[in-house]
Amino acid sequence: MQWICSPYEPSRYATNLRHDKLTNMLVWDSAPGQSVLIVQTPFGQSAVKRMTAICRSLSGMPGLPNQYTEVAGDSWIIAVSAADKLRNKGCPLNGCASTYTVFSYSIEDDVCRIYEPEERVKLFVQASIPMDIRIDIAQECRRKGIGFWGKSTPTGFYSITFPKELAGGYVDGDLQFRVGDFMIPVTSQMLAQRTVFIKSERKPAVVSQNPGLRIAD
Amino acid sequence: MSNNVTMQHLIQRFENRLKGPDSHGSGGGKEPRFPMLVVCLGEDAIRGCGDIASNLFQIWPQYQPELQFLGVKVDEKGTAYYHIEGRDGDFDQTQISLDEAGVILSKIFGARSHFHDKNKLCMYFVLDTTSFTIREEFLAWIKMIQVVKNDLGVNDLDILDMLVLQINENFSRRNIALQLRNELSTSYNREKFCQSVFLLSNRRDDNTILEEWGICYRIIAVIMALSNNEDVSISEKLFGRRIFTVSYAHKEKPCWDIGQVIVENLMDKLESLVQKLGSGTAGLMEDSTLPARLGLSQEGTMTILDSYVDRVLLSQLPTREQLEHFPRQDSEDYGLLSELTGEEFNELTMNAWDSFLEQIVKKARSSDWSGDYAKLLAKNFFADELAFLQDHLEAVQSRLLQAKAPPQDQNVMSSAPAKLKYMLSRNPETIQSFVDVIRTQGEKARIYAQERNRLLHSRSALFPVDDSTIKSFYRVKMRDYFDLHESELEKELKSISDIEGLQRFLENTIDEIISGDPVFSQPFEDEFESRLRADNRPEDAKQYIQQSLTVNDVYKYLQVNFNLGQPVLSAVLLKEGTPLFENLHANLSPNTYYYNTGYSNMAEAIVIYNIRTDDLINGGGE
Repeated sequence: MQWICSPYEPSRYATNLRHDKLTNMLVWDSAPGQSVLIVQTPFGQSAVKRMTAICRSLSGMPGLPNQYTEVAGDSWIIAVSAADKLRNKGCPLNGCASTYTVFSYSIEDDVCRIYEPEERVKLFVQASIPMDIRIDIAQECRRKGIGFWGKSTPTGFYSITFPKELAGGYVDGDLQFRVGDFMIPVTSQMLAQRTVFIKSERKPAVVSQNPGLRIAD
Repeated sequence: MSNNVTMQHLIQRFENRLKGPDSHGSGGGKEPRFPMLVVCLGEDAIRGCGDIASNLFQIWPQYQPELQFLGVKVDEKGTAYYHIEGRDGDFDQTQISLDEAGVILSKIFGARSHFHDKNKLCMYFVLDTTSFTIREEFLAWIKMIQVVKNDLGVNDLDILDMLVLQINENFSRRNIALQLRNELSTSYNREKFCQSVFLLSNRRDDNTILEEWGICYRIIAVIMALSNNEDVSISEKLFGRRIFTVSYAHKEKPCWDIGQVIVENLMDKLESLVQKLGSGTAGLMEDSTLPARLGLSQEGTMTILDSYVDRVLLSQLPTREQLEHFPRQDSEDYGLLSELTGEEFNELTMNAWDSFLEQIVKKARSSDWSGDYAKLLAKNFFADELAFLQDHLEAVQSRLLQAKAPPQDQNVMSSAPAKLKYMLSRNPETIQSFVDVIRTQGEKARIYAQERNRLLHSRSALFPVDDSTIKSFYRVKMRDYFDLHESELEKELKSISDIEGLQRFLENTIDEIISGDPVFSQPFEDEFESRLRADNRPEDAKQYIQQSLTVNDVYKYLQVNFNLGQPVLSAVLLKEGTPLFENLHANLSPNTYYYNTGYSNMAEAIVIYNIRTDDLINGGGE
């Protein structure tokens, strides 16, 4: 399959991408029967500017995926036909703290054309969906002694528990542990683990490097 | 930037060096007596002005800033004056007003000018008839002489004026030339527009037709030098209200031919060195030194990137104490985490270690390595090899992407530097930037190789040097030079990557050859003697030169069918005090006049004949 970025085609418009908070789905307006490509990129980063690189990274793929598939390092794409859109009432998210962009596409003679959005409405083809998360940080203690006279003493570890919904579409380093001045990236393996432990005398903090990922106090 | 350096250019440079005013023995010759102005009438004369000037600068090098040249053109708009200036063969003409011409004239009479006697002004008018189609053009220019004097406001000065008339007598111009000879005679009888006229033809008395005026420009300069002379008797003769013509001969150091032999030998050596350096190119990909020359370490990482890691990135690694803060899967006691292997630590910390290192490396990837890598390639590869690498870019890229992953079983801290280096060097986009440099440098090298070959092939435009003594003598000189300097030449040639660099290299080598051997600064008769001796020739150089100047190479620059009679003046121009001077002084007629040029590269003999105006009409051509 050959992948080509093509100029805007009015008869194949796809625009007004938005997040339906009730259904938690992405919805958009498009020409009747029009299939689209949804591209997920790090929060705030425009997929429109990266389409050439994304097309290049698609070369070798036999067809467009109908599940979220990682391409070009930190982007995901999913193809949604008009029928899928109708059936699912949109397209599911692949995690928050990301920017989603909709592109129309067509396939003919083994050539897939991905159409640029109209210049005037480039802002309306993308939706940036932040995520508010709560991370629990607790000092681990051990009880020494028996019953009423027992004493709870710190073990020297802190536990950090991540929310379950954070796992999808996360890029390593979007969150960082801060111990004093020292920063350590949070990895997707840690999110899958849910609870990790840090040895520190001071309470560590978790900071976000992704403006779409907001940590609640 | 395009560069059209050819062998001719290099030979010309050699000739200029040898003939230049700072070459051996220049200066100390006679000087002009009176302020002088050269006025070139018409486009053809203006075209030759630079050559006349260059020849005068050779005779009077210290007067270069003081000798002034004007051009005059006439068209339907009127008369226009031009100031002609330049040096080293490169001259420009700038249109000037009469006021500006006055300033120029004032300058040659100025307090700071070095002319010895400001009581007179020598004016030399030069007229070239090449473009004339009717005799009226000649008449019009003759009239212009007075117009020019009026315009310049010199009528109240005591003027010594001379017209040098270059008469073009090509076959296609015989008819008009005949008319001009007759017209000259008539006009000069009617009105003495100048005190004297020198008539030079491009058709010599041996029937040779000069394709260019070159030698005549030299003769004109010699006439000017002889006539503007502290020896009053000579000046008076040459401004003596007559029409003159000349015979002329010269013998000079054959600087062009010597230069050609030197440059040809240098080019032969260049060609053989290029072939030698390029001989290993075909097997370059199999060369065991190739990885190191490409800047790869033993581990297959780029040494430029390794150096960056050592200098900049290592300081960003955590301390042993900070390693303890890395998050773990559980709160069990694992002892000191810094004692784990890299693999163990990464697993325990859920890939945090690799992610941490990746963060460090990510920032470094945006750096630009192209300048440093281009320098490395220039140092390690000859130009032809760079072109070869460009032709095999895929194979080279594959070599660059063979960084070996460091062993995982080493201690996490001690293995960190190697891991950073591996991560930086294995990134395809980073390696692509290095491949792009090879592509660019290879393309430049290809262009350089093409231009170098064009330079080598430019020898086909040269005529062979006839004189076998020059060829053999200087071939030996070059052989001796290469015996001493070949390895330096090879080393320098290897480092050259563009045609400008090659030109500089060749020019510097030529300069070194000239300054390194005293034969190049010898007076020309001594140089000639050296060649004759080296060739075991029995001739005496001074006798040979004398014969050449007085018999063998003497030509009259006007064809006449009447007897020119006794000469008005026989003169020899050369550097006084040399053995050649002594020899000529001893053997030539005591009536010979010697003019000290202070220039030891040449000796000239000129004989000046008076032409009666009647003879011009009656004997004017065939």
